Amino acid sequence: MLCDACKKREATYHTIKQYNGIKTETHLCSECRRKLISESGGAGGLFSELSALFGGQEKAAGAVCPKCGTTREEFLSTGFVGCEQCYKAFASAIEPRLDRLQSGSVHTGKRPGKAASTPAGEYERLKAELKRAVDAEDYERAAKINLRLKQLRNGDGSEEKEGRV
Amino acid sequence: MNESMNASVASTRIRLARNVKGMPFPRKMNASQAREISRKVYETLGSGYKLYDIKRLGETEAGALVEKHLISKELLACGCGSVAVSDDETISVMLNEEDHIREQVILAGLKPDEAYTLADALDDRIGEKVEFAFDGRLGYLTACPTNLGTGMRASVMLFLPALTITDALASAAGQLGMYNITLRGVYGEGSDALGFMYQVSNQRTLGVTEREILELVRAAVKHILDAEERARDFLMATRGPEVKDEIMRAYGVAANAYKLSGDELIKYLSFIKLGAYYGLLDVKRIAKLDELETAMLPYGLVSSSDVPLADADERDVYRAAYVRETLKGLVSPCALK
Repeated sequence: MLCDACKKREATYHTIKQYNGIKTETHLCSECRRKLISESGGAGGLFSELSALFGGQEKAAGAVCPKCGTTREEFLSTGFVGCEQCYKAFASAIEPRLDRLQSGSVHTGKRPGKAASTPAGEYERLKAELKRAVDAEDYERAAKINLRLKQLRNGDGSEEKEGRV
Repeated sequence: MNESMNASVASTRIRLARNVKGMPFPRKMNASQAREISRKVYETLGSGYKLYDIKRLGETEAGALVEKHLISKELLACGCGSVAVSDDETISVMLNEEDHIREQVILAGLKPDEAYTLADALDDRIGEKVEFAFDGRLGYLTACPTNLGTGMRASVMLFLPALTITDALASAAGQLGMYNITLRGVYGEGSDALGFMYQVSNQRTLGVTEREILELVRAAVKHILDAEERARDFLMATRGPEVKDEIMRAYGVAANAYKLSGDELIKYLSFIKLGAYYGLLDVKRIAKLDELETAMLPYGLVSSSDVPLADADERDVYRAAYVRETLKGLVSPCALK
């Protein structure tokens, strides 16, 4: 299959995305892909569209990260945040996009040592995971999560390991 | 899937992206903060690891680390980057690249669970002493929002000659959309599809658990290898004589040439692997062919010999001699029909 961009070289980078039932396919050769990335400033391309969608919304407050000095424009053009605080400063630009960029906006995986051992943290995480399973009509998984939630409610948190439900 | 398809999985890689709580991310930090992170993380690893300061590495040594996939090319451009590599070279921890910490495990063959178990243990070990930037809802906080959540990328390197030759790769890849999986050529630098090596990896990191990512990648690998197996049958049924001829010529040249460039070697070795699959060539150990390929890439070759980096001709002569010698005990032709 030929590259979508140059129509000359063999495409070796294939991306297929499905969002809200709409499927988009991109087939690029490595050279055109590199060109595209450098033109869009790294992963920034993903976020420059955001600029159009959400531009101006957080101009009044949080246009500059108070901790590392990254500006909203800088983030939108590069796609990179400068510190953990940026996720709060640019939340209105990042969060609406997470459902499309990612498989949701709630972390369901591993947690660092301390947090993992608190049942309250696991309970909240599983509740979010349960909602996702029900939304996806994955009832088998939902039943497993329910069982674990029940165990946590009964104070029996020792049977299953974190993140393995 | 036929057992012999297992030889088409070169390696499995797990990468976890982490940052240190309270520190600006690498793009925004200064040299002393970077040094502090390198020191702190390296101390958690204990013995059995070697720390390389990228700035102090020579071109050959740095290039060899890239060829072995122990570091990314991007790390070379990071002024404050360093890497800790385990003695057996299965684990590497890149420091101050895009994120403060990139924990990586590479194992030969299809071993997602084993690789993740090692990465998970490494992560726990570092996490005991280093507090990670973490948010209850967004998970591990990374420099790019595309790595949020688990910060995990699981990749499997696959050898897909028949899907490439029959031009069926795109349609096989097209069906992967539902898996949130990306498929890309490994040797992409101006010589697309060279070596027929591709990397299958997960796209999304947030809203999925590590186990779900491993399952997704495993399912995608199975799907692609099933398609590759069908394509190999089709290829032999429709273009048998041409394919056999190409394989035997590749073996003939690789086993007898006086000069071999790196690209030529990658091409010939890939046809030798295909020859082993079709039973045209008897290869004692397929993994040895992959090792030979990595060892004979320019920087690997220079670092293990006296050949100067600048002398491409001498490199090609050395490579051909080394390959002739290695193939002697490793590959032999079967009786042709």
